[in-house]
Amino acid sequence: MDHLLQTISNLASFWLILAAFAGVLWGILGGALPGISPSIAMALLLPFTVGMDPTSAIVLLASVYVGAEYGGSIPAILIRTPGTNSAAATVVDGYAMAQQGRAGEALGISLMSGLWGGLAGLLVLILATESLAKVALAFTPAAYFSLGILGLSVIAGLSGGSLLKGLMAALLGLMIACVGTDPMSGVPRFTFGSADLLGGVKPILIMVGLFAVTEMLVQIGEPAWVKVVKSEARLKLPNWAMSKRLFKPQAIGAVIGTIEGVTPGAGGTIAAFMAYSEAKRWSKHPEEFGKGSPEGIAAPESANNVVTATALVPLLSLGIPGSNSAAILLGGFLIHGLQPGPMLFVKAPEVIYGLYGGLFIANIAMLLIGMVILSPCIWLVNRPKPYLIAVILALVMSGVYAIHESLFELFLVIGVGVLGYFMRLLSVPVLPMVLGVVLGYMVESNYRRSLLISDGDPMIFLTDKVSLTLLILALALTAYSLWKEIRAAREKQLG
Amino acid sequence: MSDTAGSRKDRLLGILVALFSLAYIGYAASIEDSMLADSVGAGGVPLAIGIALLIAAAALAVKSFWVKGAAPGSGEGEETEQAEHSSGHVVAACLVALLIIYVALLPVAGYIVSVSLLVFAIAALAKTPVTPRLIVSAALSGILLWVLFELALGIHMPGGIFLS
Repeated sequence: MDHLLQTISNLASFWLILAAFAGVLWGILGGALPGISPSIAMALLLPFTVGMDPTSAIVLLASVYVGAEYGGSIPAILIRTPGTNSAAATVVDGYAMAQQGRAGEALGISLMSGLWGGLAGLLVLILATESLAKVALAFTPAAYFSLGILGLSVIAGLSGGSLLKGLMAALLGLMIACVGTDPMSGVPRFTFGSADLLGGVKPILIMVGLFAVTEMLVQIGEPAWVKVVKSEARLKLPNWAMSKRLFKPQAIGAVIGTIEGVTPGAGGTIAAFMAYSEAKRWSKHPEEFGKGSPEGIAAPESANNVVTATALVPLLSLGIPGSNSAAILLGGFLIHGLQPGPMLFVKAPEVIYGLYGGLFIANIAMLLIGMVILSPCIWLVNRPKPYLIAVILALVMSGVYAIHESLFELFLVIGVGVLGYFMRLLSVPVLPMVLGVVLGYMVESNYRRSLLISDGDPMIFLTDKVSLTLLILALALTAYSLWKEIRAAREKQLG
Repeated sequence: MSDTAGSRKDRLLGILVALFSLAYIGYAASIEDSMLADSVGAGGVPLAIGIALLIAAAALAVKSFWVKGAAPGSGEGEETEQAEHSSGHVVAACLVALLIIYVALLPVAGYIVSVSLLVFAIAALAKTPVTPRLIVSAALSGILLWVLFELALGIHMPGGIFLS
């Protein structure tokens, strides 16, 4: 109850309201541009949050995520091109409705389903996060080490089908985390005599390079997207009868989005497709799916908006980012010297309750902005792609320079962008690398701290009950992923 | 059965990463400890990570030899696709070069000039016709971003030889 009251008290904060509205606006515009995922839209803003107060900065970034999920459905419905991956499931019935002259109705269903989904996800976030964090408060250094290992074991879910490549990416991330001064003895490692590297490589540089710069390197070689005809789109919110019909698919989306959101590595895209499939299974009119069914929009849009909140459960309670967007949000916390995880509830509870309040405002902002933003979105999508790429890159480079006014960091971001390009080329997933970079310090420092406590006896990781439980969980998760990969390889060979 | 393009890529990746991890292991082993060192030492964890990466890379390379699929197509469509990919890589490489030039130019030419040139060059690279509109748009981008950072956000951007 206390948490709810603290959350409600944040709803009147001017700066939170401003951050939520600005974030949603930016998110919808970014999400509406095919190729600009929620995480890229967030990464572009990340450097600008440096000078902000921590709560407004986190709310701004989280609101981008909320807005981008709705923004992604706009080109999905209008031009059959999902603005974000998780809007791919919306294309099927959304575009079919647009072809029948019902684009405005489809956009209205997407907006309202996103709103209900976002609010349902927020409720789950508030109820689940602190309970999980309370358990984690009793953690010893050994348990923190094992938590880091558990975090790294989710790479299987983030590996896009190749466990080995995911593992390699995570190890490369850990290597990057080792650059700089040794946390225990102060010895410089992998700095090659450069003073710029003594403080280590900041995760924000890795994230901006891997997400924003890499995407622009890919996009510049790809053809322009289709133009939108403005007269086709006028938003129409669902009436009472339609709202009643949409309740069931929205509820299905909310349940699936919750499960997929709290599972690291699953994310909004899987949730949206699963919700679509289940909504069809439970529908009274399954024959309409694929031909312009409103339920075929409501279920995936509700699911991917639930994920915007529930994906934050493992991040806030355990410090494990389970998706690209959660990783960027983690970067936002780190910039302000905050480490997500159980201690955040003790050290900076105002940030967490501010985030809850900010997410509520962001969902309301999505509805209000969503009703008026269609024309600006269409204008933006119709801009020449080269101009957009040029301005986005200028913005990225300027934002990175603004962090520490360092030319070295600009070169580093370009280098990481090139690395990301090659990783994309060789089908190596980037998220495990980000996970390695952000979890590296936690894993190494707690491993060595535990050994100091136990006089070098590694049994400390097994005698500590919490540590043992987490290690068993990590082992089980890895074994399950291995089994899945072997089974998939066998099925591929047979079929 | 012949190799698929995917397995060839995996083999190349495995070999390159294995070579890199060998160099990394060598460097990690040479890290000297200070008087404050614990039992693991400053090089202990990097060494373990390097060895793990070597094993993973070797496993990927070995796996690429026995995971083989259908022979790659040799039709006209695949050649066209490869040519499109190659031109995409060239454009991406040019973009990287432009970004490097931008960073090198920033302290000399200053923020407004560098950003305007960057926007102009990227748009031209993406085959936008060089018209007065492009030149004006590029110049305006530089000025607007300077106003955003320097005046609105209060972040000092390089003035270069013109404004210093």
